[in-house]
Amino acid sequence: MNGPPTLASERVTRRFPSRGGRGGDTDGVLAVDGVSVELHRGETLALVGESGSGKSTLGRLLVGLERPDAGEIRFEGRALGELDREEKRRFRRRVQMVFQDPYGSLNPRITVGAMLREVLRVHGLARGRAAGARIDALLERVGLDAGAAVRYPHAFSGGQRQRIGIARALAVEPHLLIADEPVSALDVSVQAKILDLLLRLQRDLGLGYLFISHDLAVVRVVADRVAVMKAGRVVETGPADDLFGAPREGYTKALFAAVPRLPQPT
Amino acid sequence: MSAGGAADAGRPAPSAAGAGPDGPLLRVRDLGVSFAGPHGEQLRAVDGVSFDLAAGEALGLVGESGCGKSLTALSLVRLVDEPPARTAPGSSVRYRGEELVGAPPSRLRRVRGAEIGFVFQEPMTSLNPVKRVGYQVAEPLIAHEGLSRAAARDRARELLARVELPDPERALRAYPHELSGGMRQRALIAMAIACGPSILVADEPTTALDVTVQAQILELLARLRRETGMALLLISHDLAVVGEVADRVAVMYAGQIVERGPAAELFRAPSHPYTEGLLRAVPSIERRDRRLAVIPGRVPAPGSWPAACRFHPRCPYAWERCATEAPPEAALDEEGGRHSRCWLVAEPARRAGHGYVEVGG
Repeated sequence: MNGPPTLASERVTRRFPSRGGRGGDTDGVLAVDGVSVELHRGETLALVGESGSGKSTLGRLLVGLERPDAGEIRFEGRALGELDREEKRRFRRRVQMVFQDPYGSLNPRITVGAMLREVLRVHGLARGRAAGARIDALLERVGLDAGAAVRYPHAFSGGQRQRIGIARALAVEPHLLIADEPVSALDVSVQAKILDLLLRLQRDLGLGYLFISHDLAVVRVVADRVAVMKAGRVVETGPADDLFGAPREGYTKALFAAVPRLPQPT
Repeated sequence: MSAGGAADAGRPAPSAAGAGPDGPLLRVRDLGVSFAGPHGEQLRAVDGVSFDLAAGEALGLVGESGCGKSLTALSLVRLVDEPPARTAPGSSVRYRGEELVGAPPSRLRRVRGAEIGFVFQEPMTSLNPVKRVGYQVAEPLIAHEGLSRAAARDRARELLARVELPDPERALRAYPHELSGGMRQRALIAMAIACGPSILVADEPTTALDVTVQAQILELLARLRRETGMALLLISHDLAVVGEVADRVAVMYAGQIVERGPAAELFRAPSHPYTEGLLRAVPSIERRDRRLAVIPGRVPAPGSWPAACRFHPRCPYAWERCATEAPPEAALDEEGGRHSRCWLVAEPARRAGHGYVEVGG
């Protein structure tokens, strides 16, 4: 992808204090160890790896939910720490997060419409009647009917809740979505529909994705580029077709080999 | 999984050893299970489920959340509380010819501990967190085989070695939380096979595990089957996992088995439209250009199953008959044991010109 990245990590490191009981290990655990990635609009970088590889922590660093101990996160070329008030607001609008379990991040006491209205208000995007029209358009964009606005989160299925989580992220007109295992909790037929939605949104809105997933077959569907993480480091990265076609690193090969192959229907 | 050959030497032929005078090792007919709904009404969750499990065979039970696959497995030996669950009149589960539906609790406990072993998805919830692993593996041996404490401990150590726990002596003394997810699942498998069951029921045994650990656990299960000749009932939402392990597959939808048959044939040429949609909705690591099928609508909850064919509101091939008459389970061939619960078996020409919408299409 040409041009400067919208968001990038430069040799970021994040260390967590080690959990009690291990003893002796005063340095803690290096969750992310000097990782550099670049995210561009219109493109999907998939971050794959097993649990504990640091992929979720890198996602949280990129969206500003965690601060690096070393290295920089740069938004449109500027280090997050150097952004002024106005630039910070812009960063929070342009980079949004989608979680595995949207239910955990939805307030059960307010309707979907009220939640979206609040997002629009906080970011100063729309109020009153204009907000209502925006909300209808958002719900339609993610494949929910307008009646969803007056319902509470518990009234929705897992797939519908993920659509609500995506609508909330889209409300502020982001350029990038950091999606951490967005389809992992879903049944396969629902998963296909959410992947369909994400691909459609990318095509229509030019969104860039950081798609964090342990599921390599799902990654194969969405990724333009892939970064394979192990123990806090990126061990291999490249265009998806090259990486899936001919992985170079032993770890990547082992990871791919472990994926069960579905006999293909004719 | 090929039949015969040196590699399968330890495994009884499916039709011979272990089968009682009445045929297969496990014979399930018309199993129905209901439970009390929020307003006290009985909701049917498993409906008319029939299948056989031969000695040494691996049967995969697949379907999405809420289709009734776990409840089916648990109900085989009444592992769900009755009430709230209720086994429907006319249900039959025969193990080596012996009827288990209505069998006394003491007999079922014995079957559960010694004849049919269970492994569940989350080993942390199946293991007692305050008891050492060694005690938990040894316990069924003391209870069911009358071993002394010392003998049971020796056997437990052997079993932990057998499931390839790297340091069995240490694992004996460990509490469950001191083991990794994969090691806990191995410990649970050791418990399940402690008394040498002839059937292992594994409900989503690798779902919570990383893919490399999953591959190791699947390999372990395959080796144990080869060595002991035990049959496997594998319940999973993951079609690829089932495809790697199972000899035969049964696909469940809305409480019923909608298609069953030999795994290779069922995967290669699915007959029931739900099976087809499900298989085509699974991404493949080998092909980026694979267009995923989109099954419209949602899996209906127990209590709101559509009339006639339960899949018809979501089916791209459905016509009037599907909404008015419930299709019977129809045989697809003479000998292979392939069945589909679909009117397309009777009217295959109805397939032409229809099909699933695809992702991005």
